Amino acid sequence: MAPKSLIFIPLLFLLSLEAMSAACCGGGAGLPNLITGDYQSQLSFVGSNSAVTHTVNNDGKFIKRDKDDEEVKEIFTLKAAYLFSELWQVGFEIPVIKNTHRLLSKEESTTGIGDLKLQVAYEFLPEYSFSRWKPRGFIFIQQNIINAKSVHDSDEELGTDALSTGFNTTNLGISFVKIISQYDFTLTGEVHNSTKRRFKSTNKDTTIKTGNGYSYSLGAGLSPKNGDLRIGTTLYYSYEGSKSFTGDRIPTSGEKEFYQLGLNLGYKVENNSYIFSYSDQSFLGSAKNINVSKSISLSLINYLDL
Amino acid sequence: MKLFFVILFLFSGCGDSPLLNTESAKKKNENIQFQSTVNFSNLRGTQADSRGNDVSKNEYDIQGIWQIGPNLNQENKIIILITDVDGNRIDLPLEIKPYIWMPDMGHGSFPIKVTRIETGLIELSEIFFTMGGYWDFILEFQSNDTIIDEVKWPLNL
Repeated sequence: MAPKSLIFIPLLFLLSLEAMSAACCGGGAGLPNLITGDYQSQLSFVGSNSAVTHTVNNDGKFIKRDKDDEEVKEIFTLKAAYLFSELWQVGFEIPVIKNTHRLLSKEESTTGIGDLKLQVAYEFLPEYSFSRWKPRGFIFIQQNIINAKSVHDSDEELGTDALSTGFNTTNLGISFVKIISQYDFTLTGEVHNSTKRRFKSTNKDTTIKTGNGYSYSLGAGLSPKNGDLRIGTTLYYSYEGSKSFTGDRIPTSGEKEFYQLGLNLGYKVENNSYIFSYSDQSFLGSAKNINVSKSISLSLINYLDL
Repeated sequence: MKLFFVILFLFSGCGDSPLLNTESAKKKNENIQFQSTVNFSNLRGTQADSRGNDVSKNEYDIQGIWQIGPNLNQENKIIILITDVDGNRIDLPLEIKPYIWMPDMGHGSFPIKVTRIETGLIELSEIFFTMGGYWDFILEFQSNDTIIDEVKWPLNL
């Protein structure tokens, strides 16, 4: 069995992957909530605050948000995962979201439960013996279940009641974790597709089919002297294909994409871990048709040994 | 560890990334007016405007005059002026459904309040452009939930 500090590393790494995005524009879906250490279960509380800094148009031009046009998303997420056999695990996520949009003459805020996520994962590449190069590998399927209004059926003037992506989305992904001495590396990728959905309100009656999307993340971390402290960095990319609209005169939307660069600092105390993360979706200056934000998050994780 | 905090400081403490080519949102958009001509030849049956003329056989001039805005950081208001070919202000026997839409983003911003002020004058209020970028301001003219014609005015905010 690997030393506990080494098991702790990938757990911290995966849990520190938090991709934020404004409700209007999706993104951030599909990151797995995996148990990657020798634990029976893990319970996570993640609190995050993200502020929109720019709107990026179809030409990739970043338009800076004015100080009197503030848009903030606060999310408190409960995550749980349970290993029900040696290689199989299940998990879920429930977020409570508070959207706030503040203008010169108006302030609007909505709080509620966002989309639920259910997940099943299988470790197809377990690590039974030491290897210098072979990583641990997981395949996962994740289902997003809509539980709130989205930007397509929002009733509020500033759209703060859009707490959902608006679509039941299925993600299929793969994740690799490798620890080499005091360094760790992770690669996660997923593709997703959503079912067509009709949005009917007093304002519009539109059926929307989303395009396919995918995302990936690359990460690396360092645990000095293989101790309980870890510092890491992540690069996350998300792409959403064009949406097509029927039942109206609006044809299609543009594609959406963004990069997110993150830094995280984790520390483990007995059966609890604490992770502070900072992420910036504007740092690389590459995005399209999306609101980009800067975020901070704090994760508290409790896990039970096998 | 020191390096981590140095990088964190560079990320968060110094404003925008040096890799970022950014521009500011437009502070003020003043004296923007729109004008379009509509005809309702697709309208089935005969419906008369407020001067008794068959709307399906006439053209009308639609003007939009912003009273407040269009700006990002506030409620915006626009007056819609509807006139016939002789310049008379006209009430149409059609339902006017306004909405604003970001075609690239694939979403709009709803609802917009419609208030008739007097003959040929309609105020549209509670208009909020929720983000900067290209918007279409659209007026649909409907009869029995069928779109007879529409005007679409572009806006860059």
